[in-house]
Amino acid sequence: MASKQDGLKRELIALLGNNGTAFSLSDFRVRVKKVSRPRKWTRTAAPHPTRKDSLTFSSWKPQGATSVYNPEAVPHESELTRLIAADRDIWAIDSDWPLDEIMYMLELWQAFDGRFFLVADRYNYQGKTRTVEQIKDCFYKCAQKSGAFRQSSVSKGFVNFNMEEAMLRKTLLASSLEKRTGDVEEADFLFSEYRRILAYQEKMIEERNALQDKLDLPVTPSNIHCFSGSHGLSYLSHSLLLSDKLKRKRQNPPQPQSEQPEKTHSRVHSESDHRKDKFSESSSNTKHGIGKVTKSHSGCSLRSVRCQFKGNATPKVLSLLSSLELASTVGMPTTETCSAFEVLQRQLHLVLDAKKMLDKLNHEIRTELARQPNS
Amino acid sequence: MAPSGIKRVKGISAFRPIVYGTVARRVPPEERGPNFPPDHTHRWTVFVKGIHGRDISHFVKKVQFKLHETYANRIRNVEAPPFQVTETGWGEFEIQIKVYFVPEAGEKPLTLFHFLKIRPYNPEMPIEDPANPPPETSEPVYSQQYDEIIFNEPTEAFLEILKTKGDVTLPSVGKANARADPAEPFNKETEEDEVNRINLAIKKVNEVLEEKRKLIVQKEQELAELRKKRLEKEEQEKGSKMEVDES
Repeated sequence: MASKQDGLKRELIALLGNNGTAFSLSDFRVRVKKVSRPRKWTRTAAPHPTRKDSLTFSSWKPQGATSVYNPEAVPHESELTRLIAADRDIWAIDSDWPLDEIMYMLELWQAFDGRFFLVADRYNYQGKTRTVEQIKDCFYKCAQKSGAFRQSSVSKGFVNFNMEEAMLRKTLLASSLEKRTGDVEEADFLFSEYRRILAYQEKMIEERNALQDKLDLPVTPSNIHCFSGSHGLSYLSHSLLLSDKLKRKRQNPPQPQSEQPEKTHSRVHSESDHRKDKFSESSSNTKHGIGKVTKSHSGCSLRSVRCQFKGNATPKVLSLLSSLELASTVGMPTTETCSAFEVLQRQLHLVLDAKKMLDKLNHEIRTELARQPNS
Repeated sequence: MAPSGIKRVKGISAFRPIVYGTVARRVPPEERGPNFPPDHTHRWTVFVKGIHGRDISHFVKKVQFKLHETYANRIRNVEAPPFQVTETGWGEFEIQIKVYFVPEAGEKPLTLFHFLKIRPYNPEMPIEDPANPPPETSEPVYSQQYDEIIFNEPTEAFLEILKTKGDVTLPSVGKANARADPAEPFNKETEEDEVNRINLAIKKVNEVLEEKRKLIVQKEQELAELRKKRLEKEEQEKGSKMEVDES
């Protein structure tokens, strides 16, 4: 049975059990002892290193410490009061803050050791109350005007105090504190949605710009049927990107490198090139039906399948063929017949495009006729 | 790492022509033997072969024929050339043909469909009178299709086979004999005829396209004139209105 422990050790055993991880308590005990001892803090004079005048500063200092704790010393309150009292005309300008009220505020400030929250809480000047921000604003303005902080590095922070911003921050904080879990989730969702939409918008603009750059190309005389559908734009962009890539590849042919792995790669490449050239040139390969292809998917298929009409326009193409009394299939799908058939397909699509164009023109003419003033 | 021979050769494509179809012949009653089913009238053969009897076994391992459900053992597997099945029957139906390739090819089987034809098709023939049917002949009725199986990126081992075996060039039989043999109608001349037929179609389509183009130009001009006329009239009306206002 474990021996009875006391103090911190007992508490730990009660928490972790008898089989808890072994550790030394000695360091911890010392630290706890050190930290736990309270010290008295006193308000003491803190001479400012950069100041040459007689203005005195004060700050908080713990008992036993040799130096002043807070380097951000503020001018002694009595000094500020003295300065303001000496130059009353400067302070009488602001109608919102009469001089008497300023003095009252400074008194409170002095009484509560510069703790603005307490000042605001106890504030009651002829039944009038002020917010923390208003008091802070007034105080810093006073400090600035008095010239007390002019040479102090600390003053920069006070000078930059903006009441409107502080109020806004406070309102935002209050509203965010009032939010419930559902509200927060909804806000998160909306924010993520907003970001998504923005990202999408940016992407779309980028894509559109890229596409517009690419569209500065000569107009093609070939069939544009596949680009005119609902997926036309994405298809066009895809094919343009592909052609761009191919172009770049052609412009930058692989250079022979000096490094070993690169060498191997180029050797393999040249071998395959050589093999391909061999294929295209050799008559035996023509005899055996072997050839080069630029774009292919591995696997087997029938040539007749490639000689079939595909796409949404198929019924229209077929009806056009029947109206021209032409056969819609290839009787003997060989390489030559299929390539001829592909030409026929392209021409048929062009006819369909022309038909569509004619219909559009006819419609426009009809509309124009209706718009004629004497009609 | 992939075993040697399984690796595919990029950028290479090979093809092999095949002919598949049926040949049927009416069997006269006197020739029907005791095993000939009494309600059957024709003997037919479904086949997959090379053009002009060329060997296809270097790339075809097996052919599976799926006959009509009324036939016993309707799925027939033929694992050696000639890849064909001969049967008797009285009606026409669709046959499913599944071509299995040699293991070196590493390809999945290819499925084809062919409609068995036992009676000759002649669009000019008058509609049959059920009371007086035309005399039936015992001439063979061919119904066959030419096609090419394309092997894209074949495996190294299969490419070696394809490089050494099989010939894909179409035989030339001379213009006069182009369609002389109904059993072997696919040759260089037939291909030329087919290309010519398509070229003629292209010419016809081009003519239509040219007509349409001219019409488009005409219509565009018409539209431009109409627009111009309207704009002029509108300008005039605006001018006269301003004069009236000033006066």
